Amino acid sequence: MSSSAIAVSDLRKTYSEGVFFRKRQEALKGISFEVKRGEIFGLLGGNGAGKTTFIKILLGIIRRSAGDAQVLDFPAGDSRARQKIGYLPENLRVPRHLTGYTALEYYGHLSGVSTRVIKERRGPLLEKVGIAARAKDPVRTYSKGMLQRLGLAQAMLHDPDLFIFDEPTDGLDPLARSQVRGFLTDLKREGKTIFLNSHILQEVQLVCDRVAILDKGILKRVGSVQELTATHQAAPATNGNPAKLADIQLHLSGTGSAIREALGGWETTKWQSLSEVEHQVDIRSADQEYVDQLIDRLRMARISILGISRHQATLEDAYLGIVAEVVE
Amino acid sequence: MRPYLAIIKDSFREATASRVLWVLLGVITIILLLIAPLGVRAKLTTGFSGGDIRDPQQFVAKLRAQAVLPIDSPAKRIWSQWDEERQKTLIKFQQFRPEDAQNDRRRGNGGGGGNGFGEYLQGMASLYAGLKELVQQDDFYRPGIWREESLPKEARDYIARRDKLSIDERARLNRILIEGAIPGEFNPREKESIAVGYLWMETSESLPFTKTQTDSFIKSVVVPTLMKFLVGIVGIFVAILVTSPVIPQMFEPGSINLLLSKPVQRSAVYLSKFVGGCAFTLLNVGYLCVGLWLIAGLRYGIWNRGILLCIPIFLFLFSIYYSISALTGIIWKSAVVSVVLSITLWLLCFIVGVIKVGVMEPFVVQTQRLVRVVEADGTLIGITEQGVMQRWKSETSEWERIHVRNDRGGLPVTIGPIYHSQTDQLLLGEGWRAPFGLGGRQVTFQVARGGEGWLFKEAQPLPDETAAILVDHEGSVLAVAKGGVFRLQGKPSPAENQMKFLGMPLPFASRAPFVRVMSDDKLNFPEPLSAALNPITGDIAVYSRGTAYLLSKDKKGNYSQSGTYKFSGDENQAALIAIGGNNVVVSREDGKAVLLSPKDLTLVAEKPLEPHSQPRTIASSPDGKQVGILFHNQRLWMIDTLSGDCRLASVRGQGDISGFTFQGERLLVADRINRVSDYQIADLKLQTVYSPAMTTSQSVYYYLVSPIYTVFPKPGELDNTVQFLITEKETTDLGLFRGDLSQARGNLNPWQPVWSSAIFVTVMLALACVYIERHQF
Repeated sequence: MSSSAIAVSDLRKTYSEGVFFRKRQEALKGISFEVKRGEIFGLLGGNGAGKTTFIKILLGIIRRSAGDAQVLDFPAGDSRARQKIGYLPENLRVPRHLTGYTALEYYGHLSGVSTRVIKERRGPLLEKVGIAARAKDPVRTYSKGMLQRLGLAQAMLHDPDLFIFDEPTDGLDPLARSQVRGFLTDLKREGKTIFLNSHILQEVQLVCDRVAILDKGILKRVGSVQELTATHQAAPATNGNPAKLADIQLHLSGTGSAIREALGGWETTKWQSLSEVEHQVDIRSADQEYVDQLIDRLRMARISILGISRHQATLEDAYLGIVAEVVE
Repeated sequence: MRPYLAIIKDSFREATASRVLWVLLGVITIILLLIAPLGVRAKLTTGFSGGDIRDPQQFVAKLRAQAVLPIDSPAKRIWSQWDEERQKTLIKFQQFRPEDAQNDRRRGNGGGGGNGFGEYLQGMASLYAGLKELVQQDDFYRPGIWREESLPKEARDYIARRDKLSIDERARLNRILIEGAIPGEFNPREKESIAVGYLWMETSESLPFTKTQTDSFIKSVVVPTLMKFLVGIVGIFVAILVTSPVIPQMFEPGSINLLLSKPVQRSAVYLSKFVGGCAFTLLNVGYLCVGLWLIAGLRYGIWNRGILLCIPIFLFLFSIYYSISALTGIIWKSAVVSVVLSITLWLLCFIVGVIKVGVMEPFVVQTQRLVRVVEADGTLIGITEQGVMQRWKSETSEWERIHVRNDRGGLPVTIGPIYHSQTDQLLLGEGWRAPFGLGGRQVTFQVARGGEGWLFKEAQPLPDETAAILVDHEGSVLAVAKGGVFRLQGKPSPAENQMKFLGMPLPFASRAPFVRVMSDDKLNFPEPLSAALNPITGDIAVYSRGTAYLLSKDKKGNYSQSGTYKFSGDENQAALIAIGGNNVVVSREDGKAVLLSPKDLTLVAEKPLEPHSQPRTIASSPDGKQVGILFHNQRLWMIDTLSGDCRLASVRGQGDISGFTFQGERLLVADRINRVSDYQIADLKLQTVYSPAMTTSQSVYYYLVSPIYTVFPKPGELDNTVQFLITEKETTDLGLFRGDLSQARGNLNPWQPVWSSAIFVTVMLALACVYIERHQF
């Protein structure tokens, strides 16, 4: 058993369309990365980036055009691999005639689980995802959030090793999102691998160990959230120490003109007036020495410092930065 | 297997969750509840209904005539039971003349005194009311008045225990006594009649059909028609509509991706979904068929497993449409397109079926198909299904029309033609008979000579109801008719050749030319009747109403009975008979060949040749060693009369053979409409083929319509399979040809639509599987 749950190298997918299949569209342009067992991995990308194509290749729903893709040590699409995957598709549709219970029975059987095991597990599972009270109601009466919870339950029913979730928190309220994050960390604790496909970058940042950024079929970055955000700290290097590079956000009390005078030649990146005598100011490229000087000057000008903080780059910043690079 | 069973189970779940299913099941329940109280009960024929008395006025006249005699008579007993007023009414009725009423009307006193038709009708009603009264009397029978020995056995049994008779039995006895009072004045009625009932109501007048006839009607007409309409059309249409969204729904993105992510085989998922899609139909059809089966069994005593076998057949019928609906469903993912294409297929199949079965077969094939061939004086003669006689012109290799049957209504009857070598003439019996096995048959005897261009001329009049014309080895012409065996005095010749004096034929002016040659005066042969002559011994074998008779010629040339064999089962079954070698061969409607000893007609063997078809033509070879039986399914069997071996003749065209004959050492077989192949009997080696060039329409039929029809699915023709399963007969028989095996009966070919449709469904499923395996969802 290798250490990677998913390993792709130079994976390519080209769709042929049109009457004589002449129109070709490259959805994946040679992607290589791996997802380690036991980690939560997020795949980020805009619409049309190739995320769903990638997942479909992993699941064998479509065939790759070139390159290699291994899932749980089997070629992607192999039914032995599919046996060990729990998948939650985007916009899940459950046949309308099923109830919560019968839907789990149906999907469980499709995954090869015996009726006895299904009956043992479905109650606790629905309890866990929070729809146990509606277990016997037809799914046509379920809200989108409830359907999504049912989808998560069916993905967990056959106790797979790898979870592939396509927008798992789509349609969920903030509380439910937080619950889902809880499931994911629980699963990780159980040693499961989770491959997440999401638009919601804050969530990915919160739960993912590593992320990959895909844009127009090209893999832009792979790494931990810290690595990505660090490389995208928006500051010029003054002494070559990236750890010290950060914007300073000051919350100041004083008139605007007094503050401006006190700051003198310092470059401000953002100025927000909260009232006539209260302002929030971001100052770029400061190392500790400059910060100390700055505070001295402000105090000397009798300007009160209500708050001071270092501004950390978010995944969103990193993502936008990476995608912007592509645009440039 | 678990995932696929889960898909099928889910389909059932989906079906039962559908409101349409419950609505349909409700409708079916209502239909079954409406049908269930309808019942048919067999009862003794007791009352009289209009038409039972042949000539009511004559009946009254005879009653009165006998009633005035001073001796006790049944007629007197009847007459005396009526009061004076009824007697007066009946006397007026008897004396009524239609012309008097018209004269009265002309004279302007039509309304006066109730003269005219009103009186006639009143008298008629009074007569039937009077008979009804008598039938209900407890003590109508008086010993000594009726001669018991002249009464039928049924009546004698009633009389023997007349103190213990039920009301119905007493009424039945009274009716027989009345019938016996004036013999010949009543139309015969079966002992049993049926009464039709619904809930607690019952028709007061019983219908003049026996329970067996009614059961057979219900079995062969009512149930198949009901099934065809309810299930075959309405049911399937609804099922197509209801199931059309199933496959497109499965292929919606949020559904198919999850399904295909599971460890399952795509093709198997599709096939399971297809099988599951039939669940809806299965539930409906199953419920209806089981319901009908129970009603037929509980109410009519017809426990017909064929009705249950219809469940898989209808399921299969549905699967034809569903295969195309499902295929279009995965390609276009639209229920509307699925429905449109399924209905298009339905229409296409219907059109192809109509062109082949409804247009080409009756107008191209039947009109020219040869059903009889005979060689006369070196000329090959063939008769088509429509009674057109043609002669083979070898110079141009075509058939030339020489005689057309004169159809005079009823079912056409053709006896022969037989080549009479002694006079070098063709003998032919032509006429008509009544349908539905009702009596009555009129045949004229005709002869034709090659030298006169085979122009048929009317010859000597045949005995009444002649069923067979035979020529013995001495050249005598024999006619087997209801009255027995008759021999033609002199030679067969056109009526114009007979010696006449002042327009009257001589020398037998007072005597029919066919003379009865039977030593037993009483023996007669009621229908169904057929006869054959042993070409070697000259014995005649006759089949008449359930009994085979062997007649041998004595020294005086009269025929006497030397053996009989009574068949079990319905005696009204028609049969064909042949005699030769070691066996008399009788083939009845059950498709069996019964081999009897030619010495005394003891049973030798029974051979089930075509259990689902009926024989159409039988003939024995001139040396008596072979008997051929051609069945209505157009398969020709050969029986070796010496060994009793039966086998399908190894000649070409089996399944399309329409006629055959033995000619000397040769066997002539007509197939493929009007081709005649000439074989040597001994080894069935093909000698000559008389095959005319095909006409354009025949070519279109054989090379275009037939192949298309063969490869097309035949959902419409699955009705035939259903009919076959219910009636267990491969040929259509609605009773019209009862007692007559010679009329062309439609061949159901019950399994042909099954396999051609099965191939279609398989191809559609295979295409769908290839698509689903290759497609990127």
